[in-house]
Amino acid sequence: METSPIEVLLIADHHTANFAGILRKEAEGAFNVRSAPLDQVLRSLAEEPGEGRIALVWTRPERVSLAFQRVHSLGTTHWPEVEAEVDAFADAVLQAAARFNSIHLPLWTIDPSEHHGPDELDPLRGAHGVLLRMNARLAERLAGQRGVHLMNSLRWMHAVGQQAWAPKLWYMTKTPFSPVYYQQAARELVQQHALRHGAAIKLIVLDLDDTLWGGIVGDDGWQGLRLGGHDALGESFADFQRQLKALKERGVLLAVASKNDEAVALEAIDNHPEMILRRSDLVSWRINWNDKAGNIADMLRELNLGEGHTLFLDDNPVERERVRTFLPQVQVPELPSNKLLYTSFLRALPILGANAQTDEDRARTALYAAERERTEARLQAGDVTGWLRSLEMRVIAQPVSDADMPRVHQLFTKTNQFNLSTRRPSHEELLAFRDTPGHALWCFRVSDRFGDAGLTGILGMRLHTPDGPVVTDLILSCRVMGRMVEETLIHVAQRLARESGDPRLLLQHLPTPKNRPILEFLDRSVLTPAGEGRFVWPGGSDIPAPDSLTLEFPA
Amino acid sequence: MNGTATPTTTAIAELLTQVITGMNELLPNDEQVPTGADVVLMGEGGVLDSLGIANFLVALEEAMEERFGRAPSLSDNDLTDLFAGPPVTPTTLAKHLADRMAG
Repeated sequence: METSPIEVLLIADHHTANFAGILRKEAEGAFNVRSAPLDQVLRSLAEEPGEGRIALVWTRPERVSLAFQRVHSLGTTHWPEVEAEVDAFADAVLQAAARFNSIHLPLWTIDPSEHHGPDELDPLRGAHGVLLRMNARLAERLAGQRGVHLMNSLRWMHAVGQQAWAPKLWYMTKTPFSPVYYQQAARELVQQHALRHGAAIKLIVLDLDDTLWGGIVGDDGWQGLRLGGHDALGESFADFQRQLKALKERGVLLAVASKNDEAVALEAIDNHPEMILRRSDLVSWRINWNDKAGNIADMLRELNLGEGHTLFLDDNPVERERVRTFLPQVQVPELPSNKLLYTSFLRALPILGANAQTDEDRARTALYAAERERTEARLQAGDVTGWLRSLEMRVIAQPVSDADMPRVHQLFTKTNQFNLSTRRPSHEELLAFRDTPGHALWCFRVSDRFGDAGLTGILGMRLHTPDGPVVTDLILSCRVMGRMVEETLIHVAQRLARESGDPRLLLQHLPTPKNRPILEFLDRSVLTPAGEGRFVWPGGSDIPAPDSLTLEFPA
Repeated sequence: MNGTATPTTTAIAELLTQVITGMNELLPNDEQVPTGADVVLMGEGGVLDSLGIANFLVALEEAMEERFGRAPSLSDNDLTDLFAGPPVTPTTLAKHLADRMAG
């Protein structure tokens, strides 16, 4: 979550005032919107300051490519000329990408209702065909470039139809698109930004009967469920499960909350030959006759997840309303009453549009399954110290490398609960911080006998300040909290301070609505409270490492 | 009533309010257009700038076409004298448009 509005710079070859107003409205204070000088796209890309800013680069294909303009108006062109002009534009975007937090580019469009003759889809001389090729070329040139995102403007066009284009406004004000089209674009930009900054759905809680399969398992038995096979409804439920499975592969956790007999429901999940989702795909389940909202709250506590990252899918409107009332931050969409529409409905949910970016994301279900085993071990071990030792934990501490940066940046961006300052630096700002003499930026990998949690901790320090060594960043993923990794980070911080010549430490807690857990940790830590969120280590002795784990510093 | 309503002054005044409300639904608070019947929209002291006037006229043209099945051409400078002339409010504009539709 942003603590202050981020600046969005509109770089366009047309008038953007309409879009700017609509974007401000949709962003609800999250964006300061500014327009670069009209129709100076290449110059703006080359010269506009980018630090801390998002750029939306909105161009028309006929303005980027004079060769395309010829095919659009005259039906003649020479593809190598178009390609060269697209490449020149892509080069300008790529150079600017090093400065801006991110750059967003709507796909080039012309009015799809335009007729350009029988060869209009010819990739060499048809206006629609050449445009497809231009977009493909641009996508190819920008592929994999961190922080550069093409926006699917075809979706906006689909949403508003013929109303997308505003020919009268074009001639009156050089505004090519209608307000309702701009609203679609603005919503997508706001959503993309939110998804990339911590608002992504991490958990989908699913009902079973008439949600994951057709029928009532308690009445029909698992053999009588409609799932898969030569049956329209059964096929649609199988597709729905496939889509959910694909989301799981992208790092979204799946859980079940169902009013059923647990043994009966699990028997169906385990044995039905057409089930796509199996027990191993679920991170948790509550299958009983208790209040469903209470069951979900219980699962969120178990998984240490917030309501705001959770989506609940249930065919029963009463249950949906109950969850909305009891857990207001959980997202509870209205499932279509026609079950054949479940899959297309799920695919169109923009909140599920974020892609997994790291190995940690993709392995998330396995990580939580390991956590479930840990909890069981904890219950068996009885005392906490014995449990921690039984985990055989290993923490690897090392300076952040270039290869670590995507995950480190993600942790900076998404971690709320155990985050000292909740600052949200850009990738470039993090690199600059790391590479500044006198700064330290370390990461921590945590594993135990149940599995590898991966890169889950970050320590940032300014070692030489008038107040002595200062911890600027102390970040830990919630998945390893409460296992002495917090104490390990403090130990390493003080060790780095000592090695820099001053064994003291200063930490400044900057409160947010969500980072109380780190304050509670600091309050009970070996550090001394110094008022106004400050905590210090006076430096008379060293802070020991926890003895319940193995700490390693690779060469 | 799509395309079949009679373009009386009252019906057009009601439509003008709906058009401005529709524009406001897309705009942030500090760009909202007042909706009173006597608010000066265009002309001397008008609340709409040139872009706002263009947006308003295009939206009004489309809304009239949809409501009455026809609309006077507003976006091709027919109202130039109204921009530069005396103040135009929803009340005066509704009467002007009703007269044109009747004429």
